[in-house]
Amino acid sequence: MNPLASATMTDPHVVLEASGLKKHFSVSGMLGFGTGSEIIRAVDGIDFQVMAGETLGIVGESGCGKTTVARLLLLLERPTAGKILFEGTNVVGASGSTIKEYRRAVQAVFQDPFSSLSPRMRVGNIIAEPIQVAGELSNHEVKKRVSEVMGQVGLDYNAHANLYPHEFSGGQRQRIAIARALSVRPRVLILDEPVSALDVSIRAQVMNLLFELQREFDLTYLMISHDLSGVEYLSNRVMVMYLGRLVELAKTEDVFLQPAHPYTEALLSAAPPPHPDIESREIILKGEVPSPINPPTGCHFHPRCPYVLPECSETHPELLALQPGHQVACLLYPDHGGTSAHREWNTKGSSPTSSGIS
Amino acid sequence: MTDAQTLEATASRAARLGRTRVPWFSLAFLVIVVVSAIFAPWIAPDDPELGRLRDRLIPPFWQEGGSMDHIFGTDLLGRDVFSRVVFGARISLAVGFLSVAIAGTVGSIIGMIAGYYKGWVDALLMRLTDMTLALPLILMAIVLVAILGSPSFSKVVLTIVILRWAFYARQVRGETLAVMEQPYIDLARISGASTRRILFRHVLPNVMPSLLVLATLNVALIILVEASLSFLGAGIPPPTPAWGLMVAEGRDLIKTSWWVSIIPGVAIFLTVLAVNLAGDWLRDRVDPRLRQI
Amino acid sequence: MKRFLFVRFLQAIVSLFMLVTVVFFLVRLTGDPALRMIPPQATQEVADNIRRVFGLDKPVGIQYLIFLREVVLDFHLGTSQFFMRPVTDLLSMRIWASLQLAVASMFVAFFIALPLGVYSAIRRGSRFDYIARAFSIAGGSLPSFLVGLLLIRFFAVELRWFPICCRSEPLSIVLPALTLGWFVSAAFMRLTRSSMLEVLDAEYVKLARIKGVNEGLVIWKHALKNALLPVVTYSTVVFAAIVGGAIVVETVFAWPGLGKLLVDAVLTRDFPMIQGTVILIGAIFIATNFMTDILYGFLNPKIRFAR
Repeated sequence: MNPLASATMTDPHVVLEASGLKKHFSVSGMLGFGTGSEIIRAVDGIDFQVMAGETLGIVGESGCGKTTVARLLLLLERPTAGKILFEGTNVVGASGSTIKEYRRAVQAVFQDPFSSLSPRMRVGNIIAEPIQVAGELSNHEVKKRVSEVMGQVGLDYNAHANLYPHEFSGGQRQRIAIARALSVRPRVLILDEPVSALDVSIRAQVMNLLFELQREFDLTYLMISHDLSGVEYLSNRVMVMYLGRLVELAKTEDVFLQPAHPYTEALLSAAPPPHPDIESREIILKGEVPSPINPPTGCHFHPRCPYVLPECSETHPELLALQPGHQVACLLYPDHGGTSAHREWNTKGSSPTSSGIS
Repeated sequence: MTDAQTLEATASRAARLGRTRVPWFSLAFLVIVVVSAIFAPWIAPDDPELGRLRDRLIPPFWQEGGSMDHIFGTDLLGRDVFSRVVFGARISLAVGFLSVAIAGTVGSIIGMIAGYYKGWVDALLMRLTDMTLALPLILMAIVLVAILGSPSFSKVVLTIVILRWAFYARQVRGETLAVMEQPYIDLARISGASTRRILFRHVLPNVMPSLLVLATLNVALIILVEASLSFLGAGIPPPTPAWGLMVAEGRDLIKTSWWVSIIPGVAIFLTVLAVNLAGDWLRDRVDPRLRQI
Repeated sequence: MKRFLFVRFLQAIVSLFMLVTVVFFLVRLTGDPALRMIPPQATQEVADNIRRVFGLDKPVGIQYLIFLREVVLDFHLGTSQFFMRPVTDLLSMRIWASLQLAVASMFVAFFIALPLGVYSAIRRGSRFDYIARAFSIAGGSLPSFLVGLLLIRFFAVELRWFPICCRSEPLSIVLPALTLGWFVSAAFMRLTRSSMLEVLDAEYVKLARIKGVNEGLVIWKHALKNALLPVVTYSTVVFAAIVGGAIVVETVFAWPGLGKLLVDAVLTRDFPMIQGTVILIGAIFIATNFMTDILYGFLNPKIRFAR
């Protein structure tokens, strides 16, 4: 668990917030005569907050919308609805100078180290680009900053700055990408599968680097991953997405030890157990992930849910707090319409019983 | 031979073909042509446009009646064929490079804009491109010449530019689209890079190599087109010694004074061939995927 | 498939329409057509008369609409100034010559290019392949007028096997067809070769080989059929191009086709003729493209069985 957890709680300052965020894509019909009747609800109404200094992990299967959330937060796509608040100011449709500020403060590291760096630019220039765009430092200062930040990720300016990306290994390229993101001294770093494309042996190195950098520069991370162990290692809180919706949001240890939402439970159970002797009780969900074009009614998860209730197909469960700091969107829980008898959820910190699963 | 051995043999042979097949003769020949074009006034023994009627139709030096005064003989007006060929190199190369340079620049800009903005801008520009590309070159060149009035050097260049920009636009657009898909473009945006910056710092450098190769291959085609136009009388006007024009002028003399037509014709052939070979080699070195063009 | 065809058809119509429009305005761009027809010493009255007769005193927009009506409804493309006859007359005379030449040239091209292409693909990397490819590049580098002139020099003048020019005897077509066909075959050969190579490389061919089918049969039956597909579709495009675009060859051999008609019209500044010829050639082009689309749609199962 991230030892910064305690730090966050003493300074609950919201750096980034998504409010009612939606992104719908319309799929055009044949030959461009867009009948547009088909809409992909990639992100279907999401609210969450990111606290200063923490790492918020976002997990879910492919197609759940987590990458779209990242793209929205990075202003690479315009939301269909909703707000994105940075330090309280909405950046959606904001003025040029607001956006410029935002871009200074929020940077990203993407999954593929091979296509994250412009192949025909020298590494030094790649890293310098954000600073140059911001335009506040002189050439000499830029060079100094680049050299500094390269050192911080474990690279050497003199040896490396004049080389091209293809002359580096995958792990090194990811470091370059991180250096570039850090060059403007951002406050928030959005990491989309930062180590998934790296060799397993390198992953730990880069994860540790990220960890160190967060501590040193008081960074806030938003980390998207399908690698649960990585998420567990680095995150303070975790949010789980399914088909464009948030189903659970809580502190890391709460999510991993006592998942409240049936989907979270299934997701976690599919991960290999830490020791071969521990029996894996994998919950196999029936059916496949439905397409985001025609999601099931009510609770999106209801067709596959082992605990499904009749009302699940009609009502869309809202994200409500089960207890402070732990939110769930599921009708099984009190305040959602269900009674605690429907599902035994142990608040005492032991793993949930899986009664009722046939 | 076992499969493994065959595979290895093929691979090494391919490697050898790819690497050592530098077209020395083509490149050497091109150097000669370029040098002739640049230093024409010093290389050519006579004025290409002035002829002495009493010296007309002298055969080349290796034939009976020829002399070393006029290596390639003289034409109907007594002009020295060799001098004309040397000066003609200027025209062909100038038209070739100038048209390609201008069309390439214009086409690239349009292609980049189409690929960058996508949507209706792209659709519109691509329609325009397709239409322009569908037009048969020589045909349209003639028509354009008709419209623009009596032919001249600049009009030939203009015609070619109007007809060819689309070729580059399409290629550049495709490459731009591919580049735009890449995460590093997103990352540039995230850093706040402006459209201009993205286009010139990221898209252009990645598009350049194949563009250059394409341009080189095109020069050959353009030289042929210019020659054909001049031959038809719709290109460079006389008395300028354009190669195509020279072939046309000597056409009726083909039976007896064959050198008036054939020698400039051969000049065209060799130059175009050299450019083609050099261009092919360049293309193979830069990006073999362009092979289908 | 139906929807595909419909859309393509619409596009063809739109293209035709745009072609006519563009041609009309381009020609007007070069100046008032009336000025060309009015002799310099004519009085103002005569000039006005001429204008009225040819409908040139009306505003441009009206002229355009009249023109459209004439073209679409009456198929009337104006009167040639040079020949003093309706343009359509001349076009219909010449078009057969062009078609004849185009067909003959395609034959020649296929005859040369296909076997060369197929064989060099089969014997890839061999000396034959190398020579064939050199041949193709050389062929593409030779200006067509040079080839034409050389052929005339040797076969018509020296050997007297064929006439020097024009469309006077049955044998007249040989040399022009050879010239044009040669020019076209370079590109064809390359296309055939690469298409063949791709097919030979395909999995199912390897599979057939493994199954032990006779090698010759494998090549001829499976590979060839598929390899020829892109060649066939490409050839329709080429055909359209050479019907209108065989200008140089027609000039060299004084072959009375559309191309030569156009060149002559340009040189004599006979604008109605230019207009009419361009429209006809453009229309042939568009029509052929449309048919190529149909052909391609038919052969490509993805489109054929689409919604």
